Amino acid sequence: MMSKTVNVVWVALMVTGAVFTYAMKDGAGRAADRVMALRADIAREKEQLTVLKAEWSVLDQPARLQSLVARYGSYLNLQPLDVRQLASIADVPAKPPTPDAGLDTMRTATIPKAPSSVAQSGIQP
Amino acid sequence: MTMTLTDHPDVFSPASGRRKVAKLKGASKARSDQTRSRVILAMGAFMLVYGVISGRLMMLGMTDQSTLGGRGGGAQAVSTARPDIVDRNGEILATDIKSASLFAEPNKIIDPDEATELITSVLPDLDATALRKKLSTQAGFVWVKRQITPQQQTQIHDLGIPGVGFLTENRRFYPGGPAAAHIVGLVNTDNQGIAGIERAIDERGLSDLHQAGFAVKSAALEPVRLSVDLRVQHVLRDELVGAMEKYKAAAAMGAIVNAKTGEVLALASLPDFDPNNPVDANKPDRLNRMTAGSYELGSVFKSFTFAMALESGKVKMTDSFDARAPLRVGRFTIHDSHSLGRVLSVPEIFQYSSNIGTARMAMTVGQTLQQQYLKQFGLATKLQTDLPEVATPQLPKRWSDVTTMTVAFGHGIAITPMQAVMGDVALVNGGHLLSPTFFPRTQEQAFADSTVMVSKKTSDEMRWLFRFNAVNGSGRHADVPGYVVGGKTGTAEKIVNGRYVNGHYLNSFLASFPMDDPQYVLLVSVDDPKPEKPNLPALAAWNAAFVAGNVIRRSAQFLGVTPRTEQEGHPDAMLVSY
Repeated sequence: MMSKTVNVVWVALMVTGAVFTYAMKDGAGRAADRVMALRADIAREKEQLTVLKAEWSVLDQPARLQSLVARYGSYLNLQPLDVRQLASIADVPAKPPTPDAGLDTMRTATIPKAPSSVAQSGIQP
Repeated sequence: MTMTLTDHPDVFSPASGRRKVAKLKGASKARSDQTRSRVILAMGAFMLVYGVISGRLMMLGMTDQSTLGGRGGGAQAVSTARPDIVDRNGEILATDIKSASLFAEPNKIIDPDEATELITSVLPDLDATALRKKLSTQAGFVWVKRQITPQQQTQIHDLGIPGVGFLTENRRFYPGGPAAAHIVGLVNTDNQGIAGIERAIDERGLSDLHQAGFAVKSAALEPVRLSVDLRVQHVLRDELVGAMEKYKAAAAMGAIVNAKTGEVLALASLPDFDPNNPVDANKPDRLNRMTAGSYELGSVFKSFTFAMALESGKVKMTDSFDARAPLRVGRFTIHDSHSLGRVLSVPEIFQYSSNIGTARMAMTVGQTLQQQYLKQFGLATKLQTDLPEVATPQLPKRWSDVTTMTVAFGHGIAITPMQAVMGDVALVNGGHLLSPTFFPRTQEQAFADSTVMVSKKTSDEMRWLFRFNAVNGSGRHADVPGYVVGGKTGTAEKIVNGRYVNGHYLNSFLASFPMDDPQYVLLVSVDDPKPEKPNLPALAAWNAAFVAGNVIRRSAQFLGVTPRTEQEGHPDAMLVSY
C-alpha cells in the first residue's frame, strides 16, 4: 500500500517534470526563433540604412547642388556669398538708442537704414 | 531517478525473493557479494553515460547562437567587406552596398544549352558560346556574372533553372563619382583596393585581416575618416573643369593643403575617371598628376631659390642684382621674358619673375649649397605620403654652372607638384617641412614629425615676398579681397621629344592665404592652355592665377578663414610679426 502511493507520487512527479521541461523547451525554441527573426530584421534595417545613407550622399553632392542652383538660382534670386557679407558678432554695432515712446512712425522709419549701416561698419569695403 | 531506485532495491523486489535470500544466506554469501558488485558496476556505467550526455547538453546550451550562424555566413560575404570612407565632415566618399552575383554549378545542370539560352535572354551582354562551354563542364562552381541588378535577379530566379544560384556580394559605391577619384582610388571586382586610399587601407592591414577570415561584416569596420573636405574638393575640381574648358587645356591639376598640419583638403587631377565605372582609369593620361607625375614647374621654383638664398645669408632682402643684359654662360643665354633693362632689387626680381636675377642669386648661393638645400627642402627625394602612387623627382644628372642657373628658375628639374606644395607649406608656416597626409592630424602631431626647412626669419621674408607679388606683381589676378592671398606664378615651357617648345606651357600658381597667418596652401596648374581671347597672353598670370583666385573666393568660407580688413592685407602688415 505504502509503496503504491510512493509509485503514484513518483509517476505524477515525472509527468509534471516532463510537462514543465517540454513547456520550457518550447518557450526557448520560440524565443530563439524570435531572436533569429529580430536579428534578420536588424540586418535588413542596417542594410537599408547603408543604402539610404549612400542615396543621401548622392543627393547631397556639391556638384548636384550646384547644378540645382544654376537651374533655379534666378527664380529663387540666389547670389553667391560676398566676402564683405561675412562678419563676426563683435563687428555688429550696438543697437541705436530708440527715440521716445509714442513716435511709432519715427521708429519704423529707421528700420530700413539699420542693415546698411551694419554692412558698412562691419568690414571696410 | 536511477539513483533513488537503486538506493532502495527492496521497493521493487518481491517478498518471496527476500525469503529465498534469507534461506540461502549462509550458503551463497560469496555469490551475493558478486551480484552486488556487478549491480554497482552497471550503475556506475549508466551514471557515466548519462553524465556525459547531460554535460554535453549543458555545453551546447552555453554556446553562443551567433557563432554557429557563421557556418552559413560565408556565402553572404564573397566580396570582402570594406570600411566606409568619409570626408572630414562625415560625408560618405565610398561605401559598400549589397548586390547579387549569379553563379552556376555545372555538375548539377541538366541541359547546358537550355540554361545558356535562358540566362542570355535575361543577360544579353553575356557571350553565349563561352557560357555554354563553361556550363558544359563538370565543375562544381563557376561565376556566370558578378553584380547583377535586383530586376535581373528576380527574372533569373523566376526562370527556375536548376543548378543556378545567387550569392550576395559587397559592391563598392562612390556617391560622388569622379569628385574625389584620385584620392579615394578604386577597387577591383573582388573589392580589393587597387588605387588611392582604397589601396592604402589594404596595405595598412585590411587584406591581412581578410586572409585570416576576419571582418567580413561591414558593420564591424570603423569608417575611415580622411582629411579631405568634400565641399572644397568640389570647388577645386569644378574650377579646374571650368579652366580646362575655358582655356582648352590638355590637363589641369590642383591641391589645397593645410599649412599648419600638412593635411590635404582637396586634390584634383584632370582628366579623371568615375570609380563606379572605371573603364578608362588605367589610361596613361588619367594618372594622379599631383603625386604620380613630375613636371618642370618653371618660375614657381624661384620661391625655393629665393628661400635658399635668404636662408644661406649670402643674399639679403636689400640686395640688388644686375638684370640689364641676357646672361651668357657657355653656349647658353638666359633671357627675361619681360626685361626691364636695369638693376633689380631682390623683391623686384620676385615681382617681375626675372630669370637673370634669380640665376645670379643662385650663383651667389653656389652649386654645392644649392644641392644641399634641395635635399633639405625635400625636393630631391621621393615624397612620403599615404597615397601609393608617388613619382620620384628627376634631378639633373650632372651639375654645372648652367644647371645651377636653370634649376634656379625651375628648368631642368622635374618634381611632383605635391612636393612644391609641401615646400611652400614650409616656407609660410615658419619653416616646418611636413609630409602631406590624407588622414586627420593635429598641428602638434604634424610638427613632431617635421624637419626644419628654413628659419622663422626666412619664412617671414618669404611671406612678405609672396604677398608683395600678389599686390604688385604677377599674382594680382589671384588676390581675393579679404583673404590676403600671396603667391608666385610659373609659366614653364613644355618639353616635347626632349626639346622645349615655344607656345606650349605648363602654367602654375602657388598660393597661400591668408598671408598674415597662412592657413592654407594652394597649387593650381593648367597644362597647355590657350589664350582666353586672341589678344591675351597664355601666361600663368592670365589663367592659373584667375583659377586660383576663384578657388580661394569660393572655398575660404568652408575652410574657416576669417576675412581681413584692407589694412591687414597690406604687404608691410606681414612684417609686423617680426
